[in-house]
Amino acid sequence: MTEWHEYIWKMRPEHLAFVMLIACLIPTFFTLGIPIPPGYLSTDYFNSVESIPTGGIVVIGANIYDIGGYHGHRDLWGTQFYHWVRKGLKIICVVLDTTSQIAFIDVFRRYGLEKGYGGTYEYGKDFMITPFIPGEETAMARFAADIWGTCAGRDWYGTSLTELPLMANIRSFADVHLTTFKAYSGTHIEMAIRQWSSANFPNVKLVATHAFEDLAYAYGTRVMGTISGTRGNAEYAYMVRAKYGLPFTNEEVIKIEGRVTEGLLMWIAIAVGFVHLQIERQRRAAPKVKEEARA
Amino acid sequence: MNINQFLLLFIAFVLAALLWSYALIGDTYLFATGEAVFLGGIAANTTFAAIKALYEGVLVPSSKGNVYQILALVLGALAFTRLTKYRWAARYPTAILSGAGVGLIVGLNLRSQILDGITSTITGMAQSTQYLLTGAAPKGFATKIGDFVIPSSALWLLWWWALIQMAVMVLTFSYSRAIAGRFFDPESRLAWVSKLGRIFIMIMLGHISCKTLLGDSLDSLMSWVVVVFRRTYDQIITGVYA
Repeated sequence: MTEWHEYIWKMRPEHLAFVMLIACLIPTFFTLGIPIPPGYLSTDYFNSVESIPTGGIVVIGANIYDIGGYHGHRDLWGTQFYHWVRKGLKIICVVLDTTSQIAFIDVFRRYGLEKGYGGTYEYGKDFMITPFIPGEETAMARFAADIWGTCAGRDWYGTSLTELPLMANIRSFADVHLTTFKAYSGTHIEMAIRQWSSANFPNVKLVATHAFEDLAYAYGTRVMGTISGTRGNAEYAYMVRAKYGLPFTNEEVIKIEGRVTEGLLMWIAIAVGFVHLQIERQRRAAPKVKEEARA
Repeated sequence: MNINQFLLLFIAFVLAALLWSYALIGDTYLFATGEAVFLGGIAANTTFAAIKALYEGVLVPSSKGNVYQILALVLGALAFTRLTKYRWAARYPTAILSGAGVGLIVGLNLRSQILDGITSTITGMAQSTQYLLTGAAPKGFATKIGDFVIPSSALWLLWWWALIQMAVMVLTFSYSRAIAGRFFDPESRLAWVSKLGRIFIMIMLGHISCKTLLGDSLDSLMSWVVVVFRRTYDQIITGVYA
């Protein structure tokens, strides 16, 4: 008869994948309330945003390749924009790929931040979206030095920047307080560190949403906080919720709980494997002992 | 949720299922269909965005007298000569882009990735020594992880470790036979430097592999479950198209 540990040991990968899926589904529908104390990276990010005075200018660039980069983490975007709006910061959204504008338009509407969609922020007065600016790092460098020139004097909708009250006193990053960048590669945060940080503009604080190892060399000098990975996303959500309240269920919190259940399952699998190997070892050793005793 | 929104939701769910079929039954027409729809959609969007950028960024300003913008258009168009027998012309936009990129990157890269690293390592060494000897942490010198105070001796050792790693990595991976050649010569008395460098690189790659293969895989599964199941469930139950 197959014993329980032997049955688990011999499970097919497909069955294990199914069990893993169930482990993910539990926190997806039933919040477990696992405490996630904020670490110093997320705390630095939160405090950097908090240090910007009301009315300060935030520049967020995005090069997310395809809209999936937003779709999978939209609650993190929602939390960031919600935080800036509650702080009363003015937001310039920089479109550095061909799909980021969809994310920017969506985040203001989906999370009820824009006037007419349940919020108070008015396009042109409190936030604006640039046209698509191709050219990666070259474009980022030029944008930092000359915002109007890089946008050819227009926003995403083709409206002249002269018609946007927000842009009246903004010409370069000398007029900006906080910068951040959305991309899912280490290369892009390096571009931001070189072009959009205090390396070029001492008045600017750069914060990131990248893994710490992508920017460790610049942390504390050029990068003043980062939301690192799923845990960082959840920690930040906890902090914003604690201070300002979040009017939506944060998927990032669900995801970190899922990571915990996945991790727990993996540890159980390792423990069961260890138990199985020990029992097998004892079973193999047992007849040998008997034979030795007979002799 | 109106009927159009419900249909969109249903199509999204079907597309997600088609793409996920790859994991269950491999590369079939189901997966190919989902993949083609996804790539086609992205290609269409990219084309429209590029045309819009050309119109707003080049054609409109050019028509108002900023004719120098046409130079950029011509340079961009030259890139497509790669598809013709005049492919040599494609070298010019490539050379200009590469030149501008290198010019932008080199100075700042040297400063942020090399000089800043060396400076902060030496500063850390000096500050940790001062902390160890006097017991007083210099201003801005990190001595805690959360609420946990790291002993000064441990900090001093950590900064020594950082210094050794930095020195070994810079010496070993300088990509110069003249500088690093003797570290890679098995007969050399300094061959241990490259061996140590390899160990440090393996530790780094091990960390990255673990994070990418294990951490990111777990994240992807969880993200997929939330996007496909939770959002669909929420939309069907609440009726709010999100």
